[in-house]
Amino acid sequence: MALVGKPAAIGTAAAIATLALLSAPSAHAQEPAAGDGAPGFGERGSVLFSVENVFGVLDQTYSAGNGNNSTNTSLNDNGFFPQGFVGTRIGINGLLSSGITLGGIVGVWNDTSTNQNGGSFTSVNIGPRFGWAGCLKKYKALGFWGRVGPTFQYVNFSETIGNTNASVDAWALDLSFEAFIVWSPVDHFGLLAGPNVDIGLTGHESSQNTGADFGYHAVGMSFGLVFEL
Amino acid sequence: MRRPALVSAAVALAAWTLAPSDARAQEEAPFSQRGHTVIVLDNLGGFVHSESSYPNVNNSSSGTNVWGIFPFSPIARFGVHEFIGDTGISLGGALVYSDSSQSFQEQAGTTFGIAPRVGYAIPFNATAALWLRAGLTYLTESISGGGNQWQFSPAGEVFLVITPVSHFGITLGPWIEWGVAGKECTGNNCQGQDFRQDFYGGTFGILADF
Repeated sequence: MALVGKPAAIGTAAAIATLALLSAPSAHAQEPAAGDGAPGFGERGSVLFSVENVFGVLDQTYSAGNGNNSTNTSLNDNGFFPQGFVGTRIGINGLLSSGITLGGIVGVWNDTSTNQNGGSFTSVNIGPRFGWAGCLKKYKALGFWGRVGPTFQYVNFSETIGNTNASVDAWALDLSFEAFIVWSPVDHFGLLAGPNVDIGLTGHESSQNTGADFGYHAVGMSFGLVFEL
Repeated sequence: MRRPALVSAAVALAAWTLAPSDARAQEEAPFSQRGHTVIVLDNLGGFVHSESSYPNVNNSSSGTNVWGIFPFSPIARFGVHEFIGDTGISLGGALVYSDSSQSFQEQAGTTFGIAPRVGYAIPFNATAALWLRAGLTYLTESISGGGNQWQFSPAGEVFLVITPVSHFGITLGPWIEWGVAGKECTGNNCQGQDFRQDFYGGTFGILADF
């Protein structure tokens, strides 16, 4: 357990150092700070590019099976870039003049073993998002961004055992909520912090000739980065 | 200045990037000079091949190919770098830390790593630069149920840095880590054996500079 405490302390120190770094007056910044009458978060860009769940806590639960035969699989992550089928998210959202944001999150990856008879894993995550972004009138460096939308997940495991190919396909649809406080001390850059919740709606898992219900839900608290472009 | 739609913003961003560099150069210094502190999220996506082996065991090599958008440890990293004056030389590094517990078939545990880097940036113009970085990476992982592994790897990146607007940039280029020393222990009665894991590929990431 000694390995756990030390990295945790270092990770916390790194996060604090980053906050301190960003809060310090910047000798390099040439533009006025966001609190000096300049536009704040949600007022100065037209596209929000974000990387979310970069650091924090994320608890994910998958359920598979029908009725009383359902089994849960949990993934509990702390630290940078939580693992799981939907961990860190990359988001692209358009920002309207009213503060409404329209866009989504996306993730697609494949992991394939190069060994003979090696397995393969594919994950696709995509979710449209509707939200609202803005900032405090008296302190424009501090903003907020709330979003809601469905998230569709598809995963596939496949491997060859002997002369037989085994494959499992699963998909899940969940409703996602994200509420971020945004600290944007300089143009184009903001630090996100806040909770996210995913509530499973429906899903299905199939393997060979069998099928079962499949579900997902998650709750987390995390930091991320957002860039106003 | 706002634009009403995502498409117009994308067009504007492309036009900004492709515009004559002289006009932008008058507005802003290039990467490494416009801001000296850089926060970077490395290896958020691309293609990476990893190869694991036990040098003392014959035919023990195994590999995986990963492609797509894959922001997960230990490939994706959070880094902080500082440019020294206007020399173009950067000092910094990346931190890897994740603690995972799961009732899943994949192994869970705690991964920790540090990746100190010395770098040198070569600006081409106000919006493009080459950022060369080299250093060491130390990774250690404790596995739930007993066992752990660690290794040192000489490592480096050659990133093209595109900075279309202030405080934002995209990195793009090759990344390699070559395991030269490491041990793996499995089970409660740990008998360490040599372990190596190499990573190489082409990746992209994002950065913020201040």
